[in-house]
Amino acid sequence: MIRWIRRFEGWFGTAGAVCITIGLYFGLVASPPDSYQGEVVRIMYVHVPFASTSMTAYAVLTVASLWYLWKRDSLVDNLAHATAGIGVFFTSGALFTGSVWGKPTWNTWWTWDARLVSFTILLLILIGYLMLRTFIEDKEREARYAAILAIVGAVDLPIVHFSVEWWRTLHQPLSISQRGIAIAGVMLYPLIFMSVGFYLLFTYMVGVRTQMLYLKQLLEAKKGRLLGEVRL
Amino acid sequence: MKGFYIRWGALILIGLWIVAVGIQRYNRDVRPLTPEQVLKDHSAGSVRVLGMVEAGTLRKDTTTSQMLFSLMENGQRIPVVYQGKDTDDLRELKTLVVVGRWDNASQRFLAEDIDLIPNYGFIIAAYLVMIPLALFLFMMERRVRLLYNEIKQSKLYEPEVGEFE
Repeated sequence: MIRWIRRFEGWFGTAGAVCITIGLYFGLVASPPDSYQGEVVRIMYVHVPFASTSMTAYAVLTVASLWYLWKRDSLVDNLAHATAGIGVFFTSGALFTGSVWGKPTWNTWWTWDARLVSFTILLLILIGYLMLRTFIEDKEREARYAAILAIVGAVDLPIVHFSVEWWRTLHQPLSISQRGIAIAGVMLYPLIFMSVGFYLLFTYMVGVRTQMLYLKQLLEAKKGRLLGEVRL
Repeated sequence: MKGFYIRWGALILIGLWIVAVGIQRYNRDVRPLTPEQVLKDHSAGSVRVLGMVEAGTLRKDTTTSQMLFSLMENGQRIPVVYQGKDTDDLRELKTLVVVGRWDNASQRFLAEDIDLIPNYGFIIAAYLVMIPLALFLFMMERRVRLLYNEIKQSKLYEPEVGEFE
């Protein structure tokens, strides 16, 4: 798997950079301002990809945690650990850009809205996951407890997604749903390019971080710190 | 490691070039002027002017269907004739951007379009998140390369001194 990551990660990184560059051009230069929000609508092209990628990150973390509990593959645990680290970054990015967007449009940096609160809980679960991993000495127990926490925390994922449907929120409802696409084509294309670019970038970053965690373990094993595990 | 630094150096140069082009374009085409600047420098081309529609000055010329008002900012005001399509954004005490040119003959600003306050500061702040994202990626990639080098160099198993004493 590490070989596969090393072989293909560069393609994901390059494709992600190309998509983001195209998306930035269309989003910041070619697309028109919104009739109600004006120029600030351009924050959408960075906020929505951050938010959707962070939710995807948590979904990947959940699947990897289930997979780990089933197969007990340490590399899959590395993947889950890496996804959580990257997920914290993307979730924080989504909350920050959302806050910056909220000030000129809602006239507030923060409000106790169902979407915002559930999303912040998602960030806290991810931070808790990373903290848990630093507290436990035994690597196998650390991975097992972290996987259980990630799976339990996954209950927040549908709450985040449907919060705008279930409750009356200040946050706008889903723009792309079964009801159709409530966004103009000229604004949809940059959003698609940026979203695809962020997904590819996320895949690349997870690949790099998984390698990093794997190599750290390998080096520790080489240095004899995990002598029992490598059975020398 | 040399190739890694060259690649990141090239990426930083491309990023800086994009930022420089963006700033240049913003100053040339997007940055709004104040009424004071318009009165000082009567540029022949189309300009964007930011200001507030002064209370009690907005009226409609019934013969020409033009909107007439005074745009004010920091005590300076310019008379504006708006001849574009009807918009809800044109209200008294509303801060907005008028797009058009100064007419020396009539000593009025002839506006063809009206935009909302651009709020570019918020947009820039949101997009600045890309910088820590790139820095985070750089640190991770560098660490991976250093780890590969370290592992290659430590071919033999060497327990740390005093570990099993």
